Amino acid sequence: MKADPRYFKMNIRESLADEHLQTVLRKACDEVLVKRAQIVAEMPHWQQLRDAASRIKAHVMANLDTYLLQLERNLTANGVKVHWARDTEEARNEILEIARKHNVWTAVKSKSMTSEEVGLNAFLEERKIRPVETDLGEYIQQLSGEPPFHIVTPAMHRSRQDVGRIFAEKLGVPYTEDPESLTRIAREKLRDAFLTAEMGITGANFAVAETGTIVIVENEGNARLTTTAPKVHVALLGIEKVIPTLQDLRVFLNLLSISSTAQRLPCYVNLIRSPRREGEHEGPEEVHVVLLDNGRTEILDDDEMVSALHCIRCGACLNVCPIFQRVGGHAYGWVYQGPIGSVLTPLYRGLNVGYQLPFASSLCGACSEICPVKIDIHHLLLVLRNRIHHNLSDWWLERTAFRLWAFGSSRPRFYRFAERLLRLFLRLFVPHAKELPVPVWSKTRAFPRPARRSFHRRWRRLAKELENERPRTGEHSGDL
Amino acid sequence: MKVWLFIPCLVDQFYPEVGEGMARILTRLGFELEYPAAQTCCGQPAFNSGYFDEAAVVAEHFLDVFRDAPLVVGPSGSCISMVRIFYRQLKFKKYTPQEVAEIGGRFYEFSEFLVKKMGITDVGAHFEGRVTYHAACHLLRELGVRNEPLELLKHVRGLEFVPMKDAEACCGFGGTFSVKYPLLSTSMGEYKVRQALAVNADYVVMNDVSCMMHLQGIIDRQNLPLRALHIVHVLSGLMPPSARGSGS
Amino acid sequence: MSEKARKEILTRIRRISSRREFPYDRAGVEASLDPRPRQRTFSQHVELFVQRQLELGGLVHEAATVSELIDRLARRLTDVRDGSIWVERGLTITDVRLLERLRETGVPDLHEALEPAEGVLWKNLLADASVGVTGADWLLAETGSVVLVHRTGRPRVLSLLPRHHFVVASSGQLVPNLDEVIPRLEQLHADPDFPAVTIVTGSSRTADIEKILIRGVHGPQNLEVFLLVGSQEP
Repeated sequence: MKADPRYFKMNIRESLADEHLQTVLRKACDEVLVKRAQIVAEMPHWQQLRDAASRIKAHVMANLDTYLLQLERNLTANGVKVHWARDTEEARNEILEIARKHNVWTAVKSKSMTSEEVGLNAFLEERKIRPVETDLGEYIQQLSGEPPFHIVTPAMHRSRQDVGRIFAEKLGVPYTEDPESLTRIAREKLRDAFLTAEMGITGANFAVAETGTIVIVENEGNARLTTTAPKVHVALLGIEKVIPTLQDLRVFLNLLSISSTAQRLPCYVNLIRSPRREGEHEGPEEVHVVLLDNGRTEILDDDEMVSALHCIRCGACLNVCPIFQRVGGHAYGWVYQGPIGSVLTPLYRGLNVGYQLPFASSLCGACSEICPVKIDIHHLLLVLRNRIHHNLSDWWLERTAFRLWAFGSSRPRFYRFAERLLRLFLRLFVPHAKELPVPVWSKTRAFPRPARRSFHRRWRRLAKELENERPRTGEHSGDL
Repeated sequence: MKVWLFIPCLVDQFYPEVGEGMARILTRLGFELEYPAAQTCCGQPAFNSGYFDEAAVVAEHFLDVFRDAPLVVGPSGSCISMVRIFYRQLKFKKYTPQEVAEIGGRFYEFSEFLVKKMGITDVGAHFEGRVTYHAACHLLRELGVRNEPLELLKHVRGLEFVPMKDAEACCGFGGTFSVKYPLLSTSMGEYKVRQALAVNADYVVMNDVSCMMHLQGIIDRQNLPLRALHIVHVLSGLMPPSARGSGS
Repeated sequence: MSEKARKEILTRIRRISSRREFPYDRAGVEASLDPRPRQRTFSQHVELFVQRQLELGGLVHEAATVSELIDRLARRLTDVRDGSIWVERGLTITDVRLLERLRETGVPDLHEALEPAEGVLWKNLLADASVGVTGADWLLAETGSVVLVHRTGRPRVLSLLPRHHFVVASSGQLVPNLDEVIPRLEQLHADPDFPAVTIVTGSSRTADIEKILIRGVHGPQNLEVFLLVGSQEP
């Protein structure tokens, strides 16, 4: 499995051959989808929530500078330091500078896709700062040297034996495969890290402009500890995370964890406003927010693609996608996976890196149907397909074929002539074959012969028969 | 009432009895039919593969053929979706976006036309057999046609209906996806076939011949005791050549 | 610090915003409010809160009087504690100070979370605590949640580091759902005297290993609510 989107086609061969993976994926996705459906069925206002969320996001994207300025103003008034980063390098360096200023040796991290997007962990490690993932799934993956398998449940592909083995090897503890014991081991080790780390690094699910609040949702309590125990807290977030008010937060909180983990609310919703205040005995002395662009303004500028910025990273589209259910997260080769990942990777990393992903879809639309903020994901994939063909030259053969097809299909006489020719060809060369040998298709499926006579050829005779059949005084005779 | 027939290319070439069956049912119900013979294809194969310009060439001709149609009915959720919904994304030489939307608005999928537009749920059909239903993706998610096919099946005499798990999951055809990602495509099709077999269905019925061709292709290759049919096969009694004898 | 980046990003966005128009849809946001609370009575909301708490693997101990509540609390503390018990500073229920009454019941190793000496941090004091007892600002019926505004005296780690989190509240603090508590939070944020707010729904949990639900990952494994149920409709 290669962590490179250009190896997607090769990667999926591995996934499809892994029966255990297939079973785990199907079971996990089915379960969360069933639970989600049960909760949604009880909510008469679910579609209204989706509508509201979609429109809030569209409004924010049309006024992003206003809201970012308001956010910055209020964060600063709350005592939070605001930084801006145009790209990966700037984001990493802002965080490094803060770390160096505070002599950070260890930084505890709560799950942040954005930090993976900028490759923060490897960058810090190279500079002798130890990042410790504290979300259990991320912790397991970090210990094993693998990236997360699913944006919400990073180690869903691992058996308890796997985890037991990893803990025994990397933590030097006696082997156990009991999930409770394994969790207790992680709790102890990470509790140490929380209490001694000089810095906590998180992402954020939302940033409320009106109050200058960073919102982080979680189930384990690791984000609470990451944002409370260390002396310094740094939150890295994409500029698209800003929302106007707490009332808007309500809309998104009602959608997020139902879509993500089929929970009405996650275990902890953290609304963070400020660093430790005078006379207090807990909390970080300094809180920093790094606002990241890294290609987001380009997507913002793209009228056809801007809705991709509405994503709240719930992972529902992954769970419902029949392709994701069969290939898992690693196959996508980068941080963002599944249907939305197939949109974001070509946009962030370039069409020449993500070009395989938009085609790895039957365009069934289940992703758009389940998306809590109503992103038309499968329509975006279609547009990307067109762009890829326009911008990359490797498809000249396919394009030529479609050009010929377009030429023929827009000229009825030519089309019907070709039709007669094809039937003649088949009658002459494969008169008795029940199925046709069509490349690729015929490996796993039978391909039928065309009918002896097309509908087009049958019509004249059929029309005469129907003339006789039509009731003269039927309820639908004559124009309405 | 005059209705123009839109016969998608796959129906035209591979399953003309679906076109014929639809024509016969509409005639019996009293509709006056017209088949504009210059029609070829709606352009979807190129569009779905991401060749919008090439699709637009074919779509332009398609609109030329149907521009004066009072009302159009076609036995395919995906093709009707192409005209009514996706034509908006194409650039036409002769037609404004408003014209494209207006013409497209006259197109109906067969079950949508019967049940939603005309309020007809009983076409006097007979079909013996245990039948389950597969919801084609474009029909379901682009056109919003969910219950109409089931309403029609409910009124077929002799038909025993049984729902299957994940009836709304994609069959895996997806146009060129079926040959670009054949393992994924086949795996998805196999899953659907298994669900139909799991409820002991004799037939799995759908409103798109593309899904049908894909599922039947898997069934034939693996010699499974199941037959994929289009809803028009069931409603008209006209069977595809290899399934003659079904439903009687 | 990142002035150049800030300027460039904002300039770019400003140019894009100037050609976009999408007004805020207030009506749409209001139409997305949960209609169900209107159809439920107060006591149905109390029942719902209890039911949700159970579904989350927690417990609700209902008491009709303060004495009964303190009795139940004392008994549970004795049952579960395997170390120190810390009670939120000045915790009261209907004006009754809990700490003294608890002391009377003889529960051992009981501490009030009074302001520590200068330079002493809560995370160190509570690192090995067994139980953290807090009040609550609101309870949310629909989700079984407890809303904690972390003013001085209610440190975050008090409901985070100990193995058990006990909440003392009265049914008068019950609010139907998140939708209804947001306006109250908006009011608070207009003149804030707290660094953070936490909405707690159940106890720390994970299903990261084989989708098996395990409680008490980094936070408390156990959340119990001691609820004074009176005829106090809000």
